[in-house]
Amino acid sequence: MRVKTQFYLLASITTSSILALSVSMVIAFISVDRALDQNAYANSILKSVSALTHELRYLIKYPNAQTKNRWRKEQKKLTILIAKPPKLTARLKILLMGIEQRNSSIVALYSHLELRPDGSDLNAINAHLVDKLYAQIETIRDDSFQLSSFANAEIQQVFTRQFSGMLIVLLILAVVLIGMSIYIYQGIRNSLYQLNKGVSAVSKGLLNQPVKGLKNDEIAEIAHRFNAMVGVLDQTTVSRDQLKMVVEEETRQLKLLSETDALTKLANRRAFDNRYLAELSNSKRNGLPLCLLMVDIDHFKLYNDGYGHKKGDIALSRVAQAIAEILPRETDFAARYGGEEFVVLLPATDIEGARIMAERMCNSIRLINIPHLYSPDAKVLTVSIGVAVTGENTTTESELIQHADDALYQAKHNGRNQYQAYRHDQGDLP
Amino acid sequence: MNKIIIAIIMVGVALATSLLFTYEETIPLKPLSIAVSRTPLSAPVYIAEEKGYFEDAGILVTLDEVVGGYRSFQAVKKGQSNLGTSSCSVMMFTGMGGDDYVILSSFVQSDNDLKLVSRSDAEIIRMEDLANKKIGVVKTTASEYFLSILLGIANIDRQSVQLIELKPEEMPDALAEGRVDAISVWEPYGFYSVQKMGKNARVLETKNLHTLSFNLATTRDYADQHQAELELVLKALYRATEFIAESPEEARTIIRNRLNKQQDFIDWIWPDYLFKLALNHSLVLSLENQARWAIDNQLTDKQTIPMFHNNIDKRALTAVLPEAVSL
Repeated sequence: MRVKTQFYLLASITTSSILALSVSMVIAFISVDRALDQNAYANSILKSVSALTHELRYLIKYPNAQTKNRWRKEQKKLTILIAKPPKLTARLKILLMGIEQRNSSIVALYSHLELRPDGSDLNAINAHLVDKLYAQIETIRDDSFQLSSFANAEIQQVFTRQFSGMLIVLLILAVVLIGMSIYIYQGIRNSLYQLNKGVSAVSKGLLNQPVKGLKNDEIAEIAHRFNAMVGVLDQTTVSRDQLKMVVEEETRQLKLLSETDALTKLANRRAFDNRYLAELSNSKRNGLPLCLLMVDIDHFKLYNDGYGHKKGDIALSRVAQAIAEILPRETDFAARYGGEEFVVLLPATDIEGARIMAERMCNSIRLINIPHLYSPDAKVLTVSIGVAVTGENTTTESELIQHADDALYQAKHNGRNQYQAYRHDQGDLP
Repeated sequence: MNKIIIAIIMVGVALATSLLFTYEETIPLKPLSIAVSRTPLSAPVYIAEEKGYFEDAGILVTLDEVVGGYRSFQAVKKGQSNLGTSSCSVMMFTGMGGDDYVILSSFVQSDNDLKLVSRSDAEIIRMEDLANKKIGVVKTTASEYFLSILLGIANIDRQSVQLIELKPEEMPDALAEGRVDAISVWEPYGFYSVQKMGKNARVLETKNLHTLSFNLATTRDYADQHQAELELVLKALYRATEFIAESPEEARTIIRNRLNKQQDFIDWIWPDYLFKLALNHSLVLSLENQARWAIDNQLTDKQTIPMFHNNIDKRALTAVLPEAVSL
């Protein structure tokens, strides 16, 4: 049930309870008032009957005009009183009727009575009528006492009936109202607790814990919207770590792209320049030799002219792949130096090691067996390699490259499809 | 949590409800018989039976209907019934006869139940006109007592009238057929006579001269041994008198149907009746007065007035309705 409805229900029950109690209180007061009226009336009847019976006894004893008048007066008073009763209960009505009947009987019996003013003995019938009168006096007195005591008891009964009833109703209402209040309070508290749990989870970045265990009320509506909102957030939000990872990956990819030759997938010239300086510096620091191999495809211009650029590109890629595959160590580094020219850096490698690598490289590329019918030297594609190593005579950064280039020149000069290590006396060559 | 709250509310409501309706233990109903005089005077007994007040109180009452309070008390005396409904006159004559009985409560009074109905041609207009007439009476009942009062007031010697002893149900025919000039009789026979004869019947104005009360009576032995049952009977009768006071029309209908009487008859007698439970001095006084009158007028062989006080058993009524007891 909705909180609003629950509160309306509580309010309407409270209001109607207050109304009902007010009405029952008014009824109770009316009843008590009536009972008090009855009691007052019963007491005045009792008083009147007492006066009447007193005068009647006096009249029977001393029958004369004066006593008769006094009795008549009381009798009339009682008749008037009986004629105007307040609202009486059925029981009191009966008693009042009895008093009225006795009053009539007294009048009737008296009318047949012949009393003797001199007080001499009455004859049998008159004596009996007097006896009957006395019996009537007793009855009317009893009836008036009964009327009075019933009226008195009625007050007490009305009090007990009206107010105990009200107390019980009040008790039931209190139980119902307190019960309902607790119910509503518990409902709201539970809903708010669930909602709070959900909000706390979101504040901790947990977007996959929706608010649960709610009833069909307004707080549940808020929770449903909250859950929907968290759902949207969950779909659209990435964490900082994820973002960092993505950026790093993207950066890495970009860096890779910026340092990779698009055709051969080897490092490009820029990457080589950076690596070259770094390895040179490492070599100096560690005191370990650094070898540089400069590889050039023989008669590549002829190949391109003969087979076309497309095949030329494929051949370049296959040569690059062969070079990369030959390098045994992680630290070895191959790059496309430009056109059909490649460079290979072999850190911590002496000239002998470099020679072996160069030899192997020449063989491997030849063995790929890429046909080159336009070459004047061989029927397959071959490379020439210039090998240089750091040493006392490589003082500047560019010297190692220069030496490798010189050695390459020497290899080309000596007939291609071979490697040549740089010799110091080579510097004298043209 | 919700279930607990609902449970609390339900327990609260149940508790309050149980306070509202007092728990009554179911006990087997005690059997009891009442010889009831077949007259509207016995209305509280009939109504208590019709409305189930006896069963509510916890007693199983069977009604043995008889004509007249005399026969009702005879049934009690013979042990045919446990309780009877009889007038003061019957009680008085029974007491004079030495029977050991007790009155438990009077439950109705009427100032006009006994009537003197005469043939119009007998010309009984005043009480004095009763002299030298043939008058039907039911011996040793209120009928005889009532007639003797009228004769006394009229100052007529009993020897100067001819008393014809009749059963109450014979009265209307006896009057109509001219076997008697007048009858001294209780209801419904007064009404039957007037109804039968129409203008040929005349009712003497005697209202208020004799107050008849109808009482619930039993033998002393029974009363001593069955106080609990008697309380229950009186409880039921009290409810019946309350019902008559609160719903007089319905009460009249019940009595009319129960006694198979005409509406006219009920309307004829009902205003004279006053139904209430009581045990008071006037009951004793009334019994004593009637006894004295009976002795004086040789209506009985006895010469002393019994102590009628001893014939009142106020225990049960005091327990049920103390306000109604003033002895």
